[in-house]
Amino acid sequence: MLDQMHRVEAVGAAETYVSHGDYLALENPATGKVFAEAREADEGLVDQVVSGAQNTFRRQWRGTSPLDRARLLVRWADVLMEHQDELARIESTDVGHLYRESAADVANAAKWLRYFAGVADKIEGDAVDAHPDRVAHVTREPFGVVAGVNSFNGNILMFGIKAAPALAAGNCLVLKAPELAPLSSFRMAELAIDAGIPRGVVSVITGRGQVTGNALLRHPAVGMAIFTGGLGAAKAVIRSSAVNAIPLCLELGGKNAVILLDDVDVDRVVPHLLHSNFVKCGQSCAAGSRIFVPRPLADELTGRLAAAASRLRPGDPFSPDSDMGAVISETQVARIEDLVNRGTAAGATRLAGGHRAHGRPDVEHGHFFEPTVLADLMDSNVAAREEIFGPVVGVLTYDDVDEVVSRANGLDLGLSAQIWGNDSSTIHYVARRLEAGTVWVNTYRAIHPSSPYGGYKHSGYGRENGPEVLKTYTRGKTTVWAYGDIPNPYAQLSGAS
Amino acid sequence: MLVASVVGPGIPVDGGSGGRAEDAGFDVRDCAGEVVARVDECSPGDVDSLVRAVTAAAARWRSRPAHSRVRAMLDWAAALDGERGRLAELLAAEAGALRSEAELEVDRAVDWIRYYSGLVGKVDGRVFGGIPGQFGYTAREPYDVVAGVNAAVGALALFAGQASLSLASGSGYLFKAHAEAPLAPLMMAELAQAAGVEPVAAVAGSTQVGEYVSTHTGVGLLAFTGRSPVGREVIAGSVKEVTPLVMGLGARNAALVLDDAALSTVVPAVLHSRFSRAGQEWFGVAHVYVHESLFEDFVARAVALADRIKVGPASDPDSLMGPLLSRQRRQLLETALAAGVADGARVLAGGRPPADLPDGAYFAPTVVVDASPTNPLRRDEVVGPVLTVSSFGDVDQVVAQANASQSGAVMQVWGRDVRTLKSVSDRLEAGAIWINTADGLSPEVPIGSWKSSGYGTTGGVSSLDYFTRTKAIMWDLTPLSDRAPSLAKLAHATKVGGAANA
Repeated sequence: MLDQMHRVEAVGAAETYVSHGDYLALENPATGKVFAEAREADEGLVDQVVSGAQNTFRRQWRGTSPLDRARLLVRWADVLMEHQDELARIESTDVGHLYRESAADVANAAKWLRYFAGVADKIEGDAVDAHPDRVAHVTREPFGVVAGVNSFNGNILMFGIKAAPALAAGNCLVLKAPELAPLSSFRMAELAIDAGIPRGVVSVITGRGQVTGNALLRHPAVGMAIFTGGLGAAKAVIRSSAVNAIPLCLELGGKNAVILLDDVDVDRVVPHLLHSNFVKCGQSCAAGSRIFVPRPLADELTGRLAAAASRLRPGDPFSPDSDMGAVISETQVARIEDLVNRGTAAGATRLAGGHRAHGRPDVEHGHFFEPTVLADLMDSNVAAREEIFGPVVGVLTYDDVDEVVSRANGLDLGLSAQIWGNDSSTIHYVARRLEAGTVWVNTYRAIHPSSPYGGYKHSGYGRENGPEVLKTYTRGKTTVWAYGDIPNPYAQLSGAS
Repeated sequence: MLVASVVGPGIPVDGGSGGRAEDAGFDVRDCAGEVVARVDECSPGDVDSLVRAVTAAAARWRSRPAHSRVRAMLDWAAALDGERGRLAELLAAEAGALRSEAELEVDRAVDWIRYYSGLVGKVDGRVFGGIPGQFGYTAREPYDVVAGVNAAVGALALFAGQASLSLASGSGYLFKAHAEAPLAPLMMAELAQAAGVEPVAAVAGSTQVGEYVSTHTGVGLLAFTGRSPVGREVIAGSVKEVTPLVMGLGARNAALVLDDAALSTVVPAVLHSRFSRAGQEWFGVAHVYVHESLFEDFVARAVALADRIKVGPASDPDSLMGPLLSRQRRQLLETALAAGVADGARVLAGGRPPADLPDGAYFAPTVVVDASPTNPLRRDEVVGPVLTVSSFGDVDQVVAQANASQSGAVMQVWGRDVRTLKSVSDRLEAGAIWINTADGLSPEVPIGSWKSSGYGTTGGVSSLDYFTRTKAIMWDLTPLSDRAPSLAKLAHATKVGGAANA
């Protein structure tokens, strides 16, 4: 736990910043206590930080060799791991994740930095030699300053996922950390400087979307933006992007289908289905929150889910006995509660949980929700349509494969999906037809720096990860060298001058 | 007789408008304002049906053998080639194209389709390198329907580029024709249908129809080319369905003429770049920076050449520059020129409609000097045959000056010294750098803009990235019985590594 009141301003090219935005109070969701505050970056501070990043790019970072960028990314990864415990403590205090969840995020962030360090000097272009009188080259160049906006539920990892390719490609990144929980991002940026990354290459500010996000996305020095968050905020981001016509990558929400095939191992699959929905209290865009089970297996599955879920306890994020941490805020808990109540009012059966956690000292003052299982969901039930972003498992039954594919695709969301079973023909058949950016087979939440991640439909567009993401973080310049005589209709007109 | 405003799979050739009253529909006028044809109204219901039809046609297209799809696309290209005469007539009537300009537009369209026909069945994914216990790969999947909303001039080439990219990816394509120039694109869509390229459709209508198409829930990707103010509205409209975009917005393209450039080649090339299609093409040059040692000579040659360019209709085989699209556009140009002159610019050639063509939408090829960087002629997107010229002394300064613009589409560089050409082209901030040519377009080469001129590309293999959506499929091959689930209380066995179930 952080012992003293913590205050953060901005991390960027300058050593200190003077600005006039409000301080936002930061609450520890496990205790309900305000323990820190963060400056909301107003337009003036955003301008200072972004301009600083642009200067750093022009004066220093642009001239840094790919190999040196790679070395710095690796060094940053090392420094993060040297501070893994500290970062995990900050994050778990600020967000309420279990300590082990935050610690895993640090390890993964380091993994991303190392992966992209390895490709910093492998950004290749194309040459096209199709015509006898010309040759064309496509080269990839950094934008200069790119903007990143994160949601609160994966700060450390999402920062790594954005910073690694951004820096490998030669950009400077300005990150808007979520105003609900920005501290780990600020600390990571400080550690980047400790690792030797020049000031201004990695900058962090925070504030509300309508203040800080708007100013950042509209700043003329920002060449492109990657946004992770909800649909409502994404719409504001798209509108802001129109000001300077900047390209976007949008990673939005999901109401992810989990399709259990009729040969699934019901017993063994249960812990994975639950963890998919209870990790970080279900505050994950990848939560497999719509579990489609074949009708003959429904009773057995829901029984096992409920029995297992009721053995799990949310509690102090720092206790190894806790199975879940805290939900980010009272507002969010109220929303989860409301959706569960509306779900049961619409006909779902509550088999486990369904209410705020209480009755134990470590959950008394914070925002905790019991692990919840809802069965007998219909497609029309709000609990089966809206992303709850809470520890709620939803179970629906189905009768045949084409039906379940159609129902899985029946929402406007399409981020990910899971298929559990053994028949590879059926698995391929289903995977091909699911409208989702990632399909996990016999696993969940399996992300890797090599695997492109992003959504279909209202879950967004663009992909993070994979060597191809370096194209997202660069712009292609096509140079056509003509070396023949290219006639035009005016050539015969111009005689001697 | 009304021209059908909807052309697509399963839609009768007359669009089902037979029997509809003549006073329904909208006029297509030539550059003098005379009515060339009346096109039927297009309703939102028509668009809904069309999107559904194209979606279904795209699914059928994808299940055809690759060779059959390739054959259909090549047949479409051949049909366009064969109908160049009729298409040229339509382009002359509605878009003011000279015969040679129309032929070039048709040639470009044919080239696009032939190029991308070769990528049918070749849109591959990637298998991930060793992640222990996992087998992962990507599939690049099509959208059901890609929509294109484009500028009026050069429409056939834009149609062909976007459509053929969509077809190679397995997507359907819907071209929303500009209300002022729909006839040639509609015919192009008819030729696609006749050639068996089922999932290509076109619809003609007002701006409202354009908005309806571009924000339609069935449209998975929107490609837009046009002026920046309209483009910004399109970006705002994309929030409705969170539609990914490929944007080509207005640009102030410029040419840099270095001190060792050969003016006898450069002047005709640069002027043609500006005056082709009466300055209405998106890739035409608007401003020329000429090294001070060549400036006087350049201006003298440009003025002399501009004055010799005969302006006239397509029907006159001696015409070397056609009209603007409409009188309204000429009015806008005259206003822009007046503002430029008021700000200090000097007109050395042209600057008014040709004396022998006062009516209609003709304008003389215009050369302007003394327009400072803040002059409206240099700051705004001016559509029309007005070329501004300025001189520079220091190459580094002129590169910085060019880069200060928020425009980033095409930069031409003219010169001979390799080191200078390389250094300049490396530093210029634009998506397309054309060295010693005013026309670097060809379908093998990606073309797209930087900065406020847009994003996304067409051309080349890499543009498939913009016209497909990636699905990643990750199999965990380790048996469930060997895995320790992350909820410790529910564990069965010992932990096995792999991708992060973070």
